[in-house]
Amino acid sequence: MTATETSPVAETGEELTLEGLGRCYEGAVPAVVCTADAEGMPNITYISRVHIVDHERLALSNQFMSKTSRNLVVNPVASLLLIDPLTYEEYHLMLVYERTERRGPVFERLRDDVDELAEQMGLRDVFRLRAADIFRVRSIDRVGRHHVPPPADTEPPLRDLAVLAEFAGLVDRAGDLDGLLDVVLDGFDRVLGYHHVCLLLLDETGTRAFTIASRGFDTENLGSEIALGDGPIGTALAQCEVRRTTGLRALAKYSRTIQQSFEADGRRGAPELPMPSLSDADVRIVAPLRSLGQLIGGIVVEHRVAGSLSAEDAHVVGAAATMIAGALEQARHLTGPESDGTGREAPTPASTVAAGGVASFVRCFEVDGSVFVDGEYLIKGVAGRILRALVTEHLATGRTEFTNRELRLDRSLDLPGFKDNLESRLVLLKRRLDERQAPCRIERTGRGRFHLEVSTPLRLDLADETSA
Amino acid sequence: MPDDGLIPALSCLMHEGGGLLVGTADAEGVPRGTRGWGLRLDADGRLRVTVSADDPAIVENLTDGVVALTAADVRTLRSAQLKGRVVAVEEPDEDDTTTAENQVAAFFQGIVETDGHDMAVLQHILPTRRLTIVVDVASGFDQTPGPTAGDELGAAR
Repeated sequence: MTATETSPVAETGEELTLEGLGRCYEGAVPAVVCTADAEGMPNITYISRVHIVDHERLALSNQFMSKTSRNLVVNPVASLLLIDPLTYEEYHLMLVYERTERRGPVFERLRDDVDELAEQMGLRDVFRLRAADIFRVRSIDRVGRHHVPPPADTEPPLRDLAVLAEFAGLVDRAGDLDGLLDVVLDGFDRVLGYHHVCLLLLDETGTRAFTIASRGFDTENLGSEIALGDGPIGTALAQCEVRRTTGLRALAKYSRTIQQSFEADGRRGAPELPMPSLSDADVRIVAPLRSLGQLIGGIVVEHRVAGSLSAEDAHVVGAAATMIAGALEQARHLTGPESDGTGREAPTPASTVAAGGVASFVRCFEVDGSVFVDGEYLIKGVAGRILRALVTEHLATGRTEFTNRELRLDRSLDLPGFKDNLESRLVLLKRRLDERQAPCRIERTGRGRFHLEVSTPLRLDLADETSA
Repeated sequence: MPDDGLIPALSCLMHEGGGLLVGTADAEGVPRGTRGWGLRLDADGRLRVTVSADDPAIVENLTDGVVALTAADVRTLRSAQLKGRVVAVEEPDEDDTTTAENQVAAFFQGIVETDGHDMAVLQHILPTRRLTIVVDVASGFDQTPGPTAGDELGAAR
């Protein structure tokens, strides 16, 4: 407020400040703006985003508000309604329009939000922030008379430094990549209090990230992929920055409406396997995993309750991501270039591995490495080719013991010569086989060695070869 | 006057779970917004809108004033805005009250289903006192988010 104006005081005597209305700017409940033209005819509409600029100013996003903009030119006052998404307390603010910004830090912040919305809608090229309208706040009043405390079950996750230190200690003690992933998921869930977490690693091309571990979702969907720069998560990773997105449910609803308005033709095809996600998430944090300045993956945290993941949580997740990235690189280095050098193990007698029962049908496609087991999609890419190689060898020789080294020398896997990511792909394959309760599983037997556990007879169909 | 079908469509939208916004302005043209809690068509083809009377400034603006009414489907955000003149401000009659109760219930149910908010918490935005305004509608506009927002839905009278 300016010194010449009275501080807004609610009926309770409580002083209301813009900073104190923090949850109202999260986008979980749309704000309402009312203006009037030169003749005093009002116009009232919902608005997608409100941002706090400083202790006496707000910025409103300007996408389709053409009538609002015209009114402000001739009558530069506005009335704003905000709702706290946790308590549904409502506030009325009187605003004086000051200026419109088309560049600068306030515009950039608001544009990030709108870009997020555009990413969500797949309308990056047409849905852009035109301007940020800046208003000075003349008064704030509570609508209604009661102060309502937030519900008890919306307590934010634990955040103090001791908790972060405990998490760091857990990460430090992980023995290998597979164990590290379990530690990270468990640490996020039990120690940091984030119960819906997805961990992504960059693939061999550096252009896509794949899910290597997840917890707290209906399905783990390990192996699901996203291209860097595609969608809100891919964009956050491509830009290598921690990003917190609030009001996801409102965003989803808004995006469906906008898409219909634009008669979008669904140019983004459904992925084979969707990223693990809460269907009713309201807030999300994406943090990049970086090691020595290079992006190696990302971590995604979601929460159902509006206002439950704050800007402070974004710092916590960002710090945790830094710890995880260092540990991941170390784990991959330790288990990557194995030193055993023994090559192939002696074949195990076929009679000991060909388990009885109904055979499982493993179908492999050369074109993208995808593998289906009994008609169900399992995995694709390098991990799929690894499985194909293992099953082929197992059926030919009865072997069940393998080494990383022989895989690394297998040209059919199409591994790059530098930073082949083999260890990550093996861990992904192992976890995906476990997730799907597949008829063959992978068990570590030592550094650079593993065992293929086959529980039912396998039949292999190399689809591309038979159809050629 | 907007399309003949617009007001019945809006009434239907409100019964299916719509939110209602009411924009007003004082004699100097200072705007002030609030929420509406029920909308129906009377026998004379005028709108009867139940609004919050908790804000004295709004009540003052409504007397012989002009209003903007935005109704939005909470599930789809499909919405329209009507503009017109207030020809009467009254205590809600029995039909107004019943209409408001039904439309509020549908509105809150829509919020619970689509936004996951708690029904008990939603009660906090209900007004403690309500009035009914009778509105002579002059024009209507598409307000659905997107490139058609602001398009006029019927010629002004």
